[in-house]
Amino acid sequence: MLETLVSIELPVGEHYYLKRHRFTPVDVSADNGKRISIISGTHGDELEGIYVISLLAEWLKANPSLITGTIDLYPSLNSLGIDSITRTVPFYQTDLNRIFPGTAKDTFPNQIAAGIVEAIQGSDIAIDIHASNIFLRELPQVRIASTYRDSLVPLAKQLNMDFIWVHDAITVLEATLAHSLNQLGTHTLVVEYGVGMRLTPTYGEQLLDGLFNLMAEQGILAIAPRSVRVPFYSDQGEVYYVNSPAAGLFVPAMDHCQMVVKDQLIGHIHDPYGVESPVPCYTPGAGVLFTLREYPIVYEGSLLARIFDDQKGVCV
Amino acid sequence: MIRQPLVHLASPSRDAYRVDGFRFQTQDKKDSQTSVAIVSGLNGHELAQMHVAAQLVNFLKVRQEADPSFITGDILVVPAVNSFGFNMGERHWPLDKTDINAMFPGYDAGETTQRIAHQLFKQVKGFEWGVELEDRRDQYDCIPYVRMIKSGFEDAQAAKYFGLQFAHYRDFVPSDAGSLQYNWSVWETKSYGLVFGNKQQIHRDSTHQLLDALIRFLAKVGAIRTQIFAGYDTNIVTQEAITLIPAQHAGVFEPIQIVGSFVQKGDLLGKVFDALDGSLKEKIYAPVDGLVTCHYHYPLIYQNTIAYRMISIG
Repeated sequence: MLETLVSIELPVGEHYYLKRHRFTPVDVSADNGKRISIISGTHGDELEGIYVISLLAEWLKANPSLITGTIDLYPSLNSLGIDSITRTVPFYQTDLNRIFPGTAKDTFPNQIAAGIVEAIQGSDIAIDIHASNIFLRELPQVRIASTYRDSLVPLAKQLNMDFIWVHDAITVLEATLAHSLNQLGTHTLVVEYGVGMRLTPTYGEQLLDGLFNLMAEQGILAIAPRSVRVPFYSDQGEVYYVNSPAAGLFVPAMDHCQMVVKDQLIGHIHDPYGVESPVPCYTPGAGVLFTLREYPIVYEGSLLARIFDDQKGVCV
Repeated sequence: MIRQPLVHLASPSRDAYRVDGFRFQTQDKKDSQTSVAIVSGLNGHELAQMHVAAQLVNFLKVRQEADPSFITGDILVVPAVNSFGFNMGERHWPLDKTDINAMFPGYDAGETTQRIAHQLFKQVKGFEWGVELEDRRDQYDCIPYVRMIKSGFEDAQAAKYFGLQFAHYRDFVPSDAGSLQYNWSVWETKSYGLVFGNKQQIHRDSTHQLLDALIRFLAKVGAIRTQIFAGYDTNIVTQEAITLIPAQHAGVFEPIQIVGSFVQKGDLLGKVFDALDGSLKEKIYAPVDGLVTCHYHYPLIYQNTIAYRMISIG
């Protein structure tokens, strides 16, 4: 059932609608009472989650008898941004994922944020799907603030992702949707993979398998659990950051998700005028190259790569 | 006056990125030695803020040249941090759209804007007083005001030194964590935000008003030796004194009351018209007696957006 939860009048003959596609058991007696929300499109330049949600919706439409809980799909939270290749909420240039929980009587982005929280709260689990940005390509991963480590890591392991990254609780991240929902008691996992403005169908299908597995394990779908990957886990190693030492054009010398050794060439920074020789960049440690720069123009400090030093990673 | 390079970064193709500061220091050891850092233009839409800071530099320079004893402390003015943004009409760092004013205290091995924040913060921390000139991030026309964040290191009474009509004294919110104003206070600088102006505009009247406010502040803390007219006896207001008045409908917004007006409960504040058929959709009335501090500035308004902000005293 397609529902409209929030309607905000725009100035010139249009409305913003927050919509969800809700699936519930055909046989009410089969309902185990659990509710999961699957979310994407907080950032208008991140499209990977929209694809996964559309695939999931197709499957659920075709298999209604296998649904044993409530499954809410929210593919396009920042719909104006998605339809205009804009990461932020257009006009306000506000990052929607930095103003949660929002307020109902305030700016347009704040109203959207408040409507989203109101709609999703009460769910047992939420999966907030992100697709990096236009600059970086990411291996399928789940990111978890250390505050919620104990409750979320067991769920993250069911999602068929390659990497579980538990990071320090940072104050600015208290304004994210995931933080707001976790505070309200909804176990919320942030999934990150692919690259902005593009689709990586293999990663999307990998997450789809993970969602089937998670919902099977949680009793929301009456299907057998899927076989899932054993992710590498940030607590069992170290994340190395590689930032650009110079400004110029970054040309990678390795592929994303490659296993690397220490002091291996990642790529060169080229001077557009060719006055300076290309600056080589090397890996600071061994492990899995789980982040690689996609957009070539760099300043000093631009992130080029991230490496996790555990050797058990599995790449697509 | 010394022009000091504070930040330098090479670019892939365009000119190098530079941030300069203007330093004015007394040479007389008997002077107060109080120190003030004034930083402006952390985003590239803050034209009024940059202009006020630049006018302050010029004022201090001319007065110091005429009378070397005019400067009695140590003053650093940084008019434009995000110069790349100014030069192309971008609010944030033009390549990755990150906000420099969300990156403090910065990180020397981090991303580009973290490095910019780090280089700048090294130069502006340690001052006794810190003043950040900024616009509102939303579409509002407001009375210029002082913003203070509760951090445990603010000096609320000294906010009156600027002589503006009011100072907004508010709680910390998570999005403050990376701001210059908040990080100053963490490093024990008494910090203020001066909030004024409209995005990408410069108004002559407010330029003079804010320039006067900064000169008044510098004189009151003992950083310069000058006479200046007294300003307002600033009201320090907290959230409880503020009333938010939303437009119930979207459309074309016509403000009736201007900022700075004292209105009574029931007075007409503004109107909303249908953008297509021109009919009157809504009249917005004052729900309380008080001072109009802000009104929505853009002609098109979204439903439920705050149209007016008022403060009430007593």
